[in-house]
Amino acid sequence: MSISRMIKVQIISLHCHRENVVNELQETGLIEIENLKDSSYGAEHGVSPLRVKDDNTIKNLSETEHSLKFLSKFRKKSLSEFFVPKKVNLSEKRFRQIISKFPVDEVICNCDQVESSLRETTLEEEKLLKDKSELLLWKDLDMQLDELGATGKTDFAIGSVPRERFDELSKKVRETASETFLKEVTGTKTDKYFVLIYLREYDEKISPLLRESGFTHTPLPAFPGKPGDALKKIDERLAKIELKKKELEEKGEGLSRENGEAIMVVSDYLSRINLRCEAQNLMLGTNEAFILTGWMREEDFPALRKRLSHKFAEVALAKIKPKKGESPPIALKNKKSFAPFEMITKLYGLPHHQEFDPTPFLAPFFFVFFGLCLSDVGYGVALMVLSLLGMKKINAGRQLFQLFLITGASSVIAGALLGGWLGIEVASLPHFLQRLMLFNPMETPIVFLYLSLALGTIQIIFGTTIKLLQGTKNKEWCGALFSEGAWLVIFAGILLLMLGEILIGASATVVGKWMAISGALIYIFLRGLRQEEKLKSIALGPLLLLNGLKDLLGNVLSYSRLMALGIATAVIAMTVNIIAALALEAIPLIGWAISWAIMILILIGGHIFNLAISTLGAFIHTTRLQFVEFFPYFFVGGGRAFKPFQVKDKFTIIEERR
Amino acid sequence: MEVGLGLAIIGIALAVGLAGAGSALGIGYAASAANGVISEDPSKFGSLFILVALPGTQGIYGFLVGVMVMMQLGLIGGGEMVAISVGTGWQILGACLPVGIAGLASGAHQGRVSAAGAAVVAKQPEDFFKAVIMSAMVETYAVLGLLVSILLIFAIQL
Repeated sequence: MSISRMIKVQIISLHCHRENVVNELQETGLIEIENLKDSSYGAEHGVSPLRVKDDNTIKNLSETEHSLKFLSKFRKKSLSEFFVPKKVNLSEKRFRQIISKFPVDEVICNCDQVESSLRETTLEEEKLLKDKSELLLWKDLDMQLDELGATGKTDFAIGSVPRERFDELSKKVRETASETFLKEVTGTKTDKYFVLIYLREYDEKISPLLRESGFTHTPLPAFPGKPGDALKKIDERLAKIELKKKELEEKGEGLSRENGEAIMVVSDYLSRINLRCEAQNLMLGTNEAFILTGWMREEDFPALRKRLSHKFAEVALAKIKPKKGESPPIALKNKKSFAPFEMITKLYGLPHHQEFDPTPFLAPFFFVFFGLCLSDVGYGVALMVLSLLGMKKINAGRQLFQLFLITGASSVIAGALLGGWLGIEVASLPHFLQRLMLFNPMETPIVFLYLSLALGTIQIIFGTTIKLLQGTKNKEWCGALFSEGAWLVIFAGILLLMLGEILIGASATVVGKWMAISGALIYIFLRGLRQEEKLKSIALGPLLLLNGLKDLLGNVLSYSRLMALGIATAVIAMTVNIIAALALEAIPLIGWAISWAIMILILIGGHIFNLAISTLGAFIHTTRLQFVEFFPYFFVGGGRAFKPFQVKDKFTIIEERR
Repeated sequence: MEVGLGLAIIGIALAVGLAGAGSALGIGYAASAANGVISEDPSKFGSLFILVALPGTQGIYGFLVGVMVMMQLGLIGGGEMVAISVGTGWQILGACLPVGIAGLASGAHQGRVSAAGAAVVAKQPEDFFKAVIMSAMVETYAVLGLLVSILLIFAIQL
């Protein structure tokens, strides 16, 4: 239905055209190239795989990407970049200009220089900082560090003891040896650091003393001169390094500013070449010619043929017959208004090639359900405005924004009908807005619940009907009528049983009862008789029926989430308003200006928060209803997506391609 | 009278507290897993953020029920405080439990699913939304808890 018809094609041409043909195919992006290398084709036809290798491109590509990553550190990033990577917008002409003129090797060289100097400077800085922290301990020591050491007659100890032991130690040392030099240099919370110089002859007595006091030796930093002087030198050096770093960073910023975009372009250009190499490796060839096969949309065939024959004299593009059991890739094709909903189908998985595309069937339900979940005029408008902004400013996720634009409109409608105006209480709304309202979910939530369940019932009946029609289309009349048809009769019967008396009259209940019973009988017997093991099928029929009824009940009740989410949006909005209003009660304490400012801040922040979580919830749960409750009635999926060989730019967006 | 109000307040506390605890546990799991992925590839922050935010809804649902009860009782919103009997107090306490209990369990487990989803984002970024849907499967039961709590609170006659 809305799946494009796919055909298999082959292209044969001469090697001299190969690069250009591949380039053309990449530009047009219409054909999915098949991997012939691993198939039996080569052996059957006596052609061997092509081996195209371009190490240079791969090397350049990785170098460029490295520089790009380095330069992006110096770029000021906008808020949107936090979520979506930055891309460059430019025309194809400008793209070519940059490729031909930009001195990429030079820039990469510059980047590498800056990067390695920066790395060196940072390393030096780290080392100096480490030295500094060591030296700081000894900064009050008024001695030449390089002269401090053992001599022929003296020995020395340098290190720390616990603070409370120091006085005792110094007393004992003085008592033991008269000619000693003991100087406390510095202290931490727990320890005292000191230098002790003593005559060698006292060593036997002093060493045990030190041990008893819990002495820890601390190596002296290896610097010439006094610690104070050394520190001064380090600080001077650090200041210089700071300057150098700043200078390098400025250089980096400059490089990033001047070349950042061009490097992005070059990187994309190189990855295009790389993709073309990879594509050529999928093909086969002889000495003179090459062959490739692939899938494409039937509708694109004439245009591609025209284009290729226009450009190359010796190129043969022809339709070929797919091998047995080979299934084509799937490309969806929907009317413009349904196209954004393709996203939902793709999330679940594409239909397989004998199925149809469920997008047009889920689209109206998705629209309504999303609206009910968000059900607020203010949030709907905000969503629409944000999607429009997103489409303009962000170069990704266009379909998602379109979807949010449509569903935003749906929220506006649902909000107006259910009285959702940014959580403002219905009673305080202007009169004409109150009149728009169908019912007030806050007063009669049960009506909302019934509405949700009714919509669910409709969607499930719709799903079953699709399956029935699918069956009749495939000429499986009896199968479809006796199972899906029977189910529809049962549904109708149950609905009449439950609602008939209120809507039509007591007699409807009787009709409903008999409809349900006859539906069940058709399901059990007529369906059973068509199966291979008739008796077993008939015996199992009631169980299947009960299981189906259980599923049906569960599925319909699952739609109650529409009401829960709808009310949740409204109540959170209301809560935001109430909390914001509390700020006004504080006027006597903090003055009216601050109170109003706080109130407005709470209002804005709170409603943005609610918009975010309610939209997320609405999207996820609406999607889930399609996948879990709706699809099982008629849709299997499992198709392979059509992935044409095309330009896949990571950092640039060519205006002509948008 | 005071006993009735006390019971209702215990109900509010359970709704907000239990559901919030569930969300806190869930986001805890999910966010640690997400940080692991971010340490390798910071550009995936956007998708991971959504996965991590998912188990947060339970806390919101609990909070929402708590606020609804407070509004009904006139504890906030400027209305007169409603005097309630002990029986009504028990009713409100009971009405608060579905969202609290369902929120606690589903929040924690949704967090586990989201944490596993972070691996999907790391390895198959294009299938990220499938992980979101898996995570949302758990949330269903929090939504049902919320639904019953809301219906009960609307139904209780003050």
